[in-house]
Amino acid sequence: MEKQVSTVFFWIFAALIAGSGLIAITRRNAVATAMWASLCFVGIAGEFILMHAYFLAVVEVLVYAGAIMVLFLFVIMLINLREEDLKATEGAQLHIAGALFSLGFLGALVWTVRRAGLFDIPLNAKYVGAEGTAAAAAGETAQLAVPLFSDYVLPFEIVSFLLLSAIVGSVLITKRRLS
Amino acid sequence: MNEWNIGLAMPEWILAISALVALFLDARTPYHRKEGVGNAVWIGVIVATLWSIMQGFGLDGKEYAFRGRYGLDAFSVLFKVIFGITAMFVMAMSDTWLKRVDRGHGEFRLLTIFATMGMFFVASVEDFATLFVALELITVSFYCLTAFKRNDVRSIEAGIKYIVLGALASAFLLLGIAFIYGATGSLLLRDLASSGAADQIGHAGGALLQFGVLLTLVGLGFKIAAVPFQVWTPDVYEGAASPVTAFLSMGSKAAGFVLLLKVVRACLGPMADSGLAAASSWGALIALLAGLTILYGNLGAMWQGNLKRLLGYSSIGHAGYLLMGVMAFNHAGFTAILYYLMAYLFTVLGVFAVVVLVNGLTKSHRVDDYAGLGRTNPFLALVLTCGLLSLAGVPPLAGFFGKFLIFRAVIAKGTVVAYSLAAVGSLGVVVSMYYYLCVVKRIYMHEAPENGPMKTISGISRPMMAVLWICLIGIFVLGFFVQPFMSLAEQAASALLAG
Repeated sequence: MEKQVSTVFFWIFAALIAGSGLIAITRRNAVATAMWASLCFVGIAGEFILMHAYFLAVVEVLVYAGAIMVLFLFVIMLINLREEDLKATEGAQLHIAGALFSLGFLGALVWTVRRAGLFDIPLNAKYVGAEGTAAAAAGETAQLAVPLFSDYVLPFEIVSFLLLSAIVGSVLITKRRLS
Repeated sequence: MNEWNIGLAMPEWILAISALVALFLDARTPYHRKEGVGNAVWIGVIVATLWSIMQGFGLDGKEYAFRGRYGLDAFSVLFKVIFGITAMFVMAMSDTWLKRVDRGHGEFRLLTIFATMGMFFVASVEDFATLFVALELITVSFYCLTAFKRNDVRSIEAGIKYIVLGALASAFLLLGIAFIYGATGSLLLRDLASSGAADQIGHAGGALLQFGVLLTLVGLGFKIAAVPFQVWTPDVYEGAASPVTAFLSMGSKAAGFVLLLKVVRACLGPMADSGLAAASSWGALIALLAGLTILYGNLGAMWQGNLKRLLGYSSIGHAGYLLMGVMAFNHAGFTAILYYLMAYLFTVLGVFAVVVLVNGLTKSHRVDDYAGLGRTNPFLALVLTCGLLSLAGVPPLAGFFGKFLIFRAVIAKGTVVAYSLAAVGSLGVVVSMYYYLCVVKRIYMHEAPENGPMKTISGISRPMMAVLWICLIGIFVLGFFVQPFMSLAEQAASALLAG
């Protein structure tokens, strides 16, 4: 019973991701695109929950659907695009090329996943390492935190310099008077 | 291997500390007095480079830090020294260039040292997480540096093109890393090598791995400006400030090749020289990319009237020659790549040093405006000519020997693909002679227009003079005294192949 329920939810979330993603890239209005994209992120968070990766699900909602989307909306509203600005970028050839490329990439992905035999794995199989739902949930953040500050402390520290560089750069490019 | 051994990464820490000191000084000084920032950055890069050289002397095989996620061998030391020298030359150029700009001096130097730090980390990368983060540190710094002249439309356009295409390339790279992790269950490069990634290609995990490696190569192909990921190059080279273009053409490209070599060696390393069917199909793919890159770069450069754009196309061409070395995929090929990059360092930075100086006088990058340089500034004309001839690969100069080694490594493979690639490469060399010599002709054979901007350039700063001399001497030394540099390159290539 539990397995059937999670399969049903898998397909619901999958449809949500694919559908909202597709609508997001075909909207002309940037605000609408951003809102549909955030729905897509919610769907991804749902899939994480089905895989018992609760922490990742929460992070997905908080960071992507929350923080990053608010940032996008701020930028879009500050730029204040008008209807005629959007029309000027139309180009049928570019659209066709983009669609062909995307379809080709989709085909390559499906072919790869099929050849690797991933379609044979049942949808509700738990990811390796999750022994018992409760234990996995309790250990979730620790599973993430311990490697982050031991094995992966070097990339973690480089990220702090990456952010510092981005801050310096954005000040350089946007600040009105550098004096 | 499981030890922390944090002191091994001392050059990076030195750069980090000097960046933080520079940031602090930058915040505390008024904008017209940024000498302190410049000094902090200079000291940081010089000490870090010297430290790397010292580490190179005391090195015994390969040493690890951060529980095996940071590695130091002859290969990484060689590249750290190359990056350090590149950063110093670029800083000398930017000190000259920044005198013409009245804002952002501190930020420019900070971004330079952040990018240098990323390059140092890249040379020691041992796993994909560090690889991605270090590469992004370089790239993000370059996005901002490219858009530095924010009142100049072309600079902003270059910045936007670079950031959009760069983000796309990063997405491919990340997806590729995810596939590789999914197939092998490890982010460590040496796990990839020892898990017999090569043998897996026939098995169930093989498809995932192949696709992952392919996507990773796409992401790295963007960094080195290989066809078909090269579209950003001419616009970015033209729009960015000249010192930034110099840094891009040497530092960023070399960083891309470090990672490309490390990834290719980890994925296909065990197959070197053994000629498996899978390896030859990868070889054919890389050969195809190399051939297209050489043709695109060199044919595109023929029609350029702007010297920086011309150098942009020619840098695509050089990425193609370096890919030829990757295609050869053995000790000789890797040695040739390393030698080529060493020669390219002096050659391309010498050319850009002259470009920075001339641009200060003429305010233009048109090839036509270099007319009369031979009469008015004989020394600059000499450096520029030697640089261009070395880029073209004229015999006694550094660039010739790099190309010779690459071609020799490829032809030694003895397959049809290798022969055709060598033929395409020679065609590229012939075409490149034409457009480089056109510039040389402009310098010496044409008179400067009567009321034109070309005059004698005076007041060249001491560091800038040093850069010009070192590049000029380097171009000749790497052409005549091949052996010491060759043995450096051979040691580094052996270290790379040993893993």
